[in-house]
Amino acid sequence: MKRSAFEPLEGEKENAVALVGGRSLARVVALRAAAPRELGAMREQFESRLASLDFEGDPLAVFLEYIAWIKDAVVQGGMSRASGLLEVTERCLMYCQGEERYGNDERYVRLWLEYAWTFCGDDADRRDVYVFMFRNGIGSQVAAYYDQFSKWLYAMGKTEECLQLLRTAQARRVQPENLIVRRLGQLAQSTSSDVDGTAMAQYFSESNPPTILSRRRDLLQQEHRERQLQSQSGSTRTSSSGIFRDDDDDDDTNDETTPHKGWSFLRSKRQRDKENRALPQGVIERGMNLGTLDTLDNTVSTAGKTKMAIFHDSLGRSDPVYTTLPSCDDKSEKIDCNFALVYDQDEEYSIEMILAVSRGLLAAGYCHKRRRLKPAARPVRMHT
Amino acid sequence: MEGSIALKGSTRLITEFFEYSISTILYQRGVYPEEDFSKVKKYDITLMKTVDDELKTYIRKILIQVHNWVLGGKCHKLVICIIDKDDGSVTERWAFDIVRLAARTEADGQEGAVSTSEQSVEETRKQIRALIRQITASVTFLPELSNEGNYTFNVLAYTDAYTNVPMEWGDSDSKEIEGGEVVQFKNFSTNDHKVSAEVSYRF
Repeated sequence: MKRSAFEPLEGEKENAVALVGGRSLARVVALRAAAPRELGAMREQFESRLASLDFEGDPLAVFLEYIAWIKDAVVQGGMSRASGLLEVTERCLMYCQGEERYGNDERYVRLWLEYAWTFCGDDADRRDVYVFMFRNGIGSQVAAYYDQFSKWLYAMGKTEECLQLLRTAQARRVQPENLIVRRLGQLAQSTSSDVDGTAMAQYFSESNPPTILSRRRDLLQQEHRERQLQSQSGSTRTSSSGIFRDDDDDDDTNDETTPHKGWSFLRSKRQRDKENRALPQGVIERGMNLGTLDTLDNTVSTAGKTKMAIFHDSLGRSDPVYTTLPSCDDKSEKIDCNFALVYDQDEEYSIEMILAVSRGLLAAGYCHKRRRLKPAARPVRMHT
Repeated sequence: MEGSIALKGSTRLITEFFEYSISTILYQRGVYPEEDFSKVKKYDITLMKTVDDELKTYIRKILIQVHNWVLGGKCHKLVICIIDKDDGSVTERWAFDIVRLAARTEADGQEGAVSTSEQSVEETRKQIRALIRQITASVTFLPELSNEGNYTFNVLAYTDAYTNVPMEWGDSDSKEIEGGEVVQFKNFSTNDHKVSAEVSYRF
């Protein structure tokens, strides 16, 4: 039996991160005593082993060994990029995905659960990972999956879905069975509603399509959130201008709220967490007021299309040109006359000459100097 | 010397430490639900103490007996085992060694007696505080107890072979964890005793 003292970790006890599976303190102490160069060499060794992986052996075991080593080497947790824990975990999950033998391998399922628990910062992200697992049959025969997912559903107030999930687990006879039975018993005490079997189907299906009635899910959710905020504050919120997001690796514009493409592939955490991503807040549910429905056509750009003109009375007519003239009784007069047409620089034209010029019957240079007329052709008092 | 601890005071301090450390362990390991505990200020830190009457009575009953044994120098180890109800396996084993220091003056065991040692009550409390902090920080290496709400605990007292044992207490094996790992924590001492703590676990 290994023995070690807590003392070497005394200075780090506030920063060390707790792990679901725990860690060997003896190994942590040994790694803390190692020089950075030695740690680098150990890491390279793991990387070279990963580079020569084949599916004949047990690639998951190699990955898990590497992950355990990182956890022991970096007790502050794997959230820092330098630790590489997130990347290695995701590499492992993706590498082994689709391998039938790992689908219900407890080690693999537990790694998924740990990934959801440790790295998924918000509830929407965590939920997507659980749903991804469900849809791909990962952990479908492992009680730990149902246990963790149901706990999360319960914490989110989804008691009905939680109950159905546990019933699904019971129907599938996942082991250990008594864990599921116990959870069902605990839930039965907290809920008395009869489950009609539709809640969970709806829960999973709603997380799937990016559009609802041809509207993008994130737009609907955003509108709903804004309406909620308005009702709370009583003031109109103006949306801030958007920040450019380079979506070079994602050409699927309808896929912004889900971390996957067709639920067969999970994008990496860093891709999911790119800036300015519209995160869904909660689930769209029955009875939620989403406002007027715009069709998808309204959201697409109309650039390049000619718009149909709409008839109105003033079409083709120019508005009158007013000139305001001071009057002797200190009241200004607004004259409906364009003096710029009458007085062309130093020239003065009569109405007949202007008409003749406009019809091309009189050249502009033909007019010779005349005395400037003082009053306008037709003074009209509009208002004072 | 003012503030120093006599045997009875030392024993009382140790028993009190056991009471708080048992509560802390049961709380932070999730053996009992959170609502069964309330915050108390002790040793200048905030600790969790059980408010469940049944559990309180059970712990008190154990500790009254342990107090008598320690006072009489009959008990040299107290062990708290966290047991999985499903299969009865020991998940964690918290052990507290009690070492009786060299024989004290003839006033030992008499109420109000004072010791000539330099160890003050304040110094002992400081050591206890440091130890409880390490116990609290043990979550950094102990695995999460996944089978939440399905654990119980046993208390084992290591006594001399000829000690009178009440009927409520029965013989037991040591409930060691095979293939586990042991982590040694800080210790604390009074004028008459030295108490050290360790935890065995499997990950």
